[in-house]
Amino acid sequence: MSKKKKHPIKERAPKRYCVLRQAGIEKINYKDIEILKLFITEKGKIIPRRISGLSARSQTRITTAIKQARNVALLSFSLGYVPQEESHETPSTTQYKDSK
Amino acid sequence: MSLQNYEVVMMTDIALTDEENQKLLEKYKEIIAKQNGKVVDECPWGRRKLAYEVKKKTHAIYHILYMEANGEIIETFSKLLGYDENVLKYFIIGIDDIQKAKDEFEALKANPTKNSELLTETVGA
Repeated sequence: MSKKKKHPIKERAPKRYCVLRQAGIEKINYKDIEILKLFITEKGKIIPRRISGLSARSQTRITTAIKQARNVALLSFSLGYVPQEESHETPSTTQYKDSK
Repeated sequence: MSLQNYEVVMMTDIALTDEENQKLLEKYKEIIAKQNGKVVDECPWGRRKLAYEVKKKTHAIYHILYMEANGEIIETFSKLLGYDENVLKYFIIGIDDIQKAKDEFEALKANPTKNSELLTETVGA
């Protein structure tokens, strides 16, 4: 019988802190679009908490403010299809086409 | 009857002149006053571009009213706004303190990028 493999000790990722708390911003108003624009993608989606790294409290504040701003037509619900640039085409596929 | 504080964002047609817009607002102020409500304060936000088309219009005049009202008044008020063709959209939200809300908005109007700059400075990106 083989011995059970020992799991290597995981290196802990450095602790992240809430950006909004660091800046000392507590209240977020739906009319303050400039700050809300930092937390949406280019298509207009809300960036999730695992990526934005906000605390639970400030994430809910941001999401409610974004949803309110959408109702007042300050932010868009969606920007639909965002056309990609030609440079985004991966070189591997073009090479494959040439070889054929 | 206990009254609560509300903030109303009204988006009106850009085809209206400033005088016509003022007339329209005063009409609604009277309606609210008739029902024992009260428009405590107001704040214009000017002509702005909309993030998406509303009734095939790309721009609108933004105006914010701060008022004391109750559920009944809000119900009839929003019903009338819905019938009005000059009002593209409206948004009613409850607030705690009118004076505070107005001061915050005035500060935001004077310096719209204050908070976002503060955030980018602290993060450094």
